Formats: sequence, structure tokens, C-alpha cells
Amino acid sequence: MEKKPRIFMVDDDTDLVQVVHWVLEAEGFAFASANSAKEALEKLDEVEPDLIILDVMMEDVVAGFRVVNALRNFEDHPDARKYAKVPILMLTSIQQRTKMKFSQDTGSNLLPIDAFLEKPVKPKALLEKIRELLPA
Amino acid sequence: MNRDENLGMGRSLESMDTTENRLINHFFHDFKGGLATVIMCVEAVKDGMAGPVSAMQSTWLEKAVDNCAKMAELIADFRDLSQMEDGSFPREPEELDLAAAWRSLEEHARSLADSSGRVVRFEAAGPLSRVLFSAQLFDRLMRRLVARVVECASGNGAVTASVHTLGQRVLIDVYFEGPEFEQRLLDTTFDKLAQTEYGLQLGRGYAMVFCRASARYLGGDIRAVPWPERGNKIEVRLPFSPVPDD
Repeated sequence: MEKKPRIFMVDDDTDLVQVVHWVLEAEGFAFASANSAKEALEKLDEVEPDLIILDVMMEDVVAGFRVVNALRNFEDHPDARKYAKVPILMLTSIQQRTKMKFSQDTGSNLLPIDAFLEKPVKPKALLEKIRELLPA
Repeated sequence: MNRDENLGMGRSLESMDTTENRLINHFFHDFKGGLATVIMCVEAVKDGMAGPVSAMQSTWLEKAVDNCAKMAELIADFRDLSQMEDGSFPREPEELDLAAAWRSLEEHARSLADSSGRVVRFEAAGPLSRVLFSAQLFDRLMRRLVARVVECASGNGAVTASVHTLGQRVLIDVYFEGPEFEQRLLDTTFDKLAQTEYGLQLGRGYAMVFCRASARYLGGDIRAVPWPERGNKIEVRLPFSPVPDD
């Protein structure tokens, strides 16, 4: 049986996580979640994600950046190295304020994530972006 | 981006979370989070993810989504206005291609006008160069203003927006045909608490308040004036800095 792509959502809004779970499960994805940056980094090996949906503001205003840092720079989390290629989709409500710009190139001076969607996001837009980012 | 640059962006984010506006920032974050959940649920139902939906149900759900979007805009305005008031709203200048920005604004206006059937004209009186400007805030100000005029100005008269630069100022005039108001009533356009039903109404919410606050935060101003025997005009005047020579 073909393995379902596993989406790992990291967000402290448990209601939103629940709704995204429903949406993704209805579309044939496997789903796991964490409610904080700390929990997310602890659960990586258990989840083995194919894609990560990541909020920014969680236990503190920069919690999401810590996850990005761990997954892309892995200075403090050498075990996260195996997830360096997992696409990161940032889902947040602050892009306009921070003028956050990103690049998949970790050598650039932009945030090393793969895509960005600003909340509120429609299910179709989320699904389209996930399918775009997942490896074929 | 290396670890230090990543953390630098985080520090920039933290610096916006000052003591004065921390409550507002966090309230906004939580409020918008709730709205995001509602919108996603409603959209999922509308898309048929919970079973077939009739045309009437779809219409009702669309109304629910529209109002959630208005609430999201309202709370964002409240947060931004409070941060402009205490000076913490970001306004770092960056290089802006004014001509490209004007074209983008025109596309936005036309897409809105297509659904309302209103005629929209955009003009640039003279060359528009690259300038140093708070590009994001300028974009938001102008998109909100144009959207409100195209969608809400009474009657269905034509809207003409023109831009030119004079010295180190951008001058934008938005003319709209329709009933002409007295200056004393036009003065209330950007002051929500002073508005009356007899004045210029450009939709509900705080968009016009946001426009004036943004213009002033950028060091300029905005006002509504009569356009004699034709309708009314909104004037936006904003200073910019020239791009330094390399």
C-alpha cells in the first residue's frame, strides 16, 4: 500500500490544528501535530514528517524561528540534520508586519523556509501549496 | 540565513512586542487565530468536504466568510492604529519602484471595478522613478483607499486616480463622480466618531481612519475636498527620499 505523505503541523492553536487535521485527512494525508517548538523538536523522530506546517508565535513570539533554525542550521540539534530537506510551510498572521522574506537556499540571507501562507488561509489554498511542496 | 541572522529577525520581531503594545499584539494574535479557524471550517464545508452543499447554503456560508474577513481586517486595523499611535509600527524605508507600484494599484482597482461595473481610470502625470519609501505601508494605504472609493462611493460614477511627484513628494488625487459634499462634511470622512449619515460614506469599519493614520505616520496627509459640480476628490500627499547614488 502506498505510504500517505505525513504532514506535521506545529501550532499552539489546538482548534486550528484540529480543523487542518480534518481537512488533510479528508484529502488522504497522514497527520501529526505538536503545540510548541520544544514538543516539535522532541517528536521529529517519532513523526518522520514529509512536510512541516509551522506557526511562528507559540510559547513565545519567535518559537517558530527556533524550529527553522534547528532544521536548517542544526547547530543545537544535530539529530535534526536528517530532516534538513523536509519542506517547511510557514502559516502565520504576522508576515505583513515583519516583511518576512524567505528562500529555500540556506546560504541566502532570507528565512530558509520553502513557502509562506498568511492566516486566515482557505483549505484549497493550503492543499494546493502542500501538493506543490511535496516531492513527487 | 545563518543562526545569527535568523535570531536577528527574531529580535526584530521581539522588539515590536514592546510592553506598551504586548497586550494588543497578543490579543490580535489570538483573535485572528480564532477567525482563521472559523474561516477554514466554513470554507471546508462550502467546498463540500463535509458533504454536498446546496447553492443557498453556499451563499450563506460565503456571507459568513465575508464577515469573518471583515472582522480580521477590523482587528488588524485596531492593532496597527494603536502601534502607529505609540510609534512602534514598522516604517523602514526601502527602495520602491513607484511606476510598478502604480501599475499594481491600477490592476487591483480594475479587478474591484470589474465586479461593480464602475469605470476606473489611472493616470501618471510625468515620470515615476525609484524612491526610498515605506513601501508596505504605502501599498496598504493606497489599496485600502482605492478599494473603498471603487466599492463604496455612492452612485456608480467613474473614478480617476492620478499621480505625480513634485520635489520629494508623491501627490495622488482620487476623483470620483457623484454627489458633491460640503467641506465640513468631507472633513469627517477620516474621523469615524464624527461621521454622520449625511456625509461622505466610504463603507463601514476603520479603513478611512487607517488611511489617514498611515498617511500622517509617513509624514504626509490625506484629505477629502469637493470636486466642483462633478463630485469629490481625495488628496494624498506623501514625502519620500531619493534613492542615493551608488
